[in-house]
Amino acid sequence: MAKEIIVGIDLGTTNSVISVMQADGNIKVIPNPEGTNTTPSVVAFKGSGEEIVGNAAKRQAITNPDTVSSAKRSIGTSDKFHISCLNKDFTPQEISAKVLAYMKSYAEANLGQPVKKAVITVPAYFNDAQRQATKDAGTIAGLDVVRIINEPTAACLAYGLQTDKSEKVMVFDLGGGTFDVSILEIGDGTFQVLSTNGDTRLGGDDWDHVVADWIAAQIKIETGANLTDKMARQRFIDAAERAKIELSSSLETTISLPFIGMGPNGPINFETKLTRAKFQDLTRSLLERCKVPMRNALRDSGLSYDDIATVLMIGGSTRMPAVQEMVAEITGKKINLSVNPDEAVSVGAALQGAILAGDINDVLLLDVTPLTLGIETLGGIMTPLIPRNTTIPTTKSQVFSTAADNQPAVDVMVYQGERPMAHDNKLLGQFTLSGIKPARRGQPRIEVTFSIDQNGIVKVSAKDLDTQQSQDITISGSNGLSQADIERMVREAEENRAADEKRKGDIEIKNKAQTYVDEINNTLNEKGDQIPADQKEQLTKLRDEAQGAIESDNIEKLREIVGRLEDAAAAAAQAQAGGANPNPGPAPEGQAGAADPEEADFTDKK
Amino acid sequence: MQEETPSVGEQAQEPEAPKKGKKVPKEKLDEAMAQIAKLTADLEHWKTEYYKAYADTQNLRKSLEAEARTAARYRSAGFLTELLPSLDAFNIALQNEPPSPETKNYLIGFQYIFNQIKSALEAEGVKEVAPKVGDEFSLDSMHAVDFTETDEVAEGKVCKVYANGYFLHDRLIRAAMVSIAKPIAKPEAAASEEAPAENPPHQA
Repeated sequence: MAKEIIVGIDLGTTNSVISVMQADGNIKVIPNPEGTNTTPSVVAFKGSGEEIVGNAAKRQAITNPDTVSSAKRSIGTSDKFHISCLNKDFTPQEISAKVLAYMKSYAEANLGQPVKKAVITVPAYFNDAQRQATKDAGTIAGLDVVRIINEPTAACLAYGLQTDKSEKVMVFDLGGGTFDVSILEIGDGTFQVLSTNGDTRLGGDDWDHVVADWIAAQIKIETGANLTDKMARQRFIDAAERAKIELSSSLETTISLPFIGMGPNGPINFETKLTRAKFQDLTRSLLERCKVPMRNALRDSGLSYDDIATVLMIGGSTRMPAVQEMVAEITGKKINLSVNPDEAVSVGAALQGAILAGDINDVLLLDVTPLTLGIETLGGIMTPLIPRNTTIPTTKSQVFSTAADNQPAVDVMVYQGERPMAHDNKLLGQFTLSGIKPARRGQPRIEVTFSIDQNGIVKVSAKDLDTQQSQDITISGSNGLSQADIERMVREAEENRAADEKRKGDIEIKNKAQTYVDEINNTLNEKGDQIPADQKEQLTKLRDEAQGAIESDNIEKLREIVGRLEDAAAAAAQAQAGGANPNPGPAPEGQAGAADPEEADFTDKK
Repeated sequence: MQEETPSVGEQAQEPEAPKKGKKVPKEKLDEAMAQIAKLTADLEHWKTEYYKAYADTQNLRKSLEAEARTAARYRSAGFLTELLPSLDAFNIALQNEPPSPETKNYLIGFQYIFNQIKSALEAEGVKEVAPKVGDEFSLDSMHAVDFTETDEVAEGKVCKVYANGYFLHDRLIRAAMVSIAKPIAKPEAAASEEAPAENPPHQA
């Protein structure tokens, strides 16, 4: 089913990203043939006519003067790039077109269908000529550019900001090499840029260089070695970048540089710890530089921070805690970091593409069931059938059985909630299925089916698979719980988890032990005389021990002997076998992995 | 005959069944036909939507399975990236000439350990790219970091290896970092001082 798709492209100065909305409403960032989500915006030419784009072009850049890497800086001007091996001039849009064409081709390979339309993003400060040239680049690449949108607007879309209510937003974009701040007004279906400001020479790389300088200085202090060669410098920068990333999630990191150089005593090895506090101290001036464009953008917009509703963070460098804290402190707002900052712009463009393709209307927004639904089983345990956050409509069945011999009916108690013990959850309803033929406990097969329709109406049915008799109830309005109630129930389940799990575990051991005791009893009663005397004595003793522990709720004892019980029950079953079916218990009904059919907590209706 | 009453719970509005023997007025018939047409159209619509949704699920599953296969194949990529500084350090350490026979034995031992690590990596699908001085520069597996002026290596060829490269199956995890040979720049011929040049060189 090849529906027309509109891709979203972030055509960046250094790196570009392409993404698209999938059938299920999720945005997928499309990786290039080398497996990475970002592609360098670099194009190289060879005398043979060969053109190289992306990572490969970057790798050979210094050997090939006919490599162009910053076409975006001159797009929309009359600058030309002269390619000597071909003795030809190229306009910036022709260069950018090659990057776009490369992305188009690997997207088509990945998606398995042609890609003809795209939304491309540009900086908010681009003028008409720059926008038109960007659009032309798309056309040259064989794309129908249905819309050019601003990068901060794409960020707003990625963050799910709706244009129905009116609000003012600040977008803080700190990438690898550039920093942009924009203030937008959203409302009435439009995004309007009120002001932009930035620093084209400030980015994550600057943080790396500061730390690299510090490493070199530390090595000089500790070893006396002044390491300035290119290889050492590159290792310092790599180590600095790794440390920076580590410190975004840890308070301390180790920088390790074995064999960083050669000294009079042989190899020089260097290792040091860098704390987050020290890192922030070293890079304080860079953080200060971020404040200036923020102040200027605000001034130019004529607003104050009180007028700004929210601040969106994009660009990989916004992962640094110091940056987040600074922005939160200065703006007085809770900052929004819920979208991958490296991909937000491309994702926003893809969303715009999906809106233009009419996909957003087509995508059915389905509900989910907010809390787990299940029934009460033996021992008061909550056995879930439909877990919370399952998309509805949905249906799930599971086979249960009786808890006592000759049990004639089962009570199906429907509960909603996250606690392992049924009574801690909310009882939604109950019904009884009777007419079960007399049989040993665990023999009858009762199929319980839960179904929720698209309106959230729950129907629970129980069917005796032998007699074909069934009963059911319909529960509507089971979502009479407010969002606050739901959150509270989930939170309480978390808080009580350890205690609840223990309680459930205890009951399960008890149930298990009881099952084995019953099996042993059956064997003793029916085939008692066929079992050798000493084995019979052992079985009886074990059975008594277990029965006593069950009755006195001695869980510790049960844990200890349940292994022996299991073996004894199996041996008893063997002894009883002699051709006939071994003692039924492990009937592999329904649930994968469960040996026994779950036993419903059914009270004897007599 | 009794008039049919719609049963409890039915969603659709049933038109009243006509009394037996009576003629059905034209507008009632038209109404019924219009409703049939509408219901038929609705049915077609939902049938199509259902098939589309079902097909979408199948397609989504196929693409998720393909992604899962890719993820499994390249599962070590992240781990390999983390290991790179250690692998580089081993290479650097083992390049050095040991100053004493004792150190030499240590280095031999470390070489063996490194070989073991490399074997384990190979078993996982890792291939090392180890260019030698004089090799052709290959942009598929090497990253030219800078030039080195030298007359000992032919121009354009690899003259220094900063770090080896690594492939995981067919994916390049890190290119080999190399320096490319460039001829040593000859000092400018001494400018003639006897007479001013007739045609002074133009500004480039």
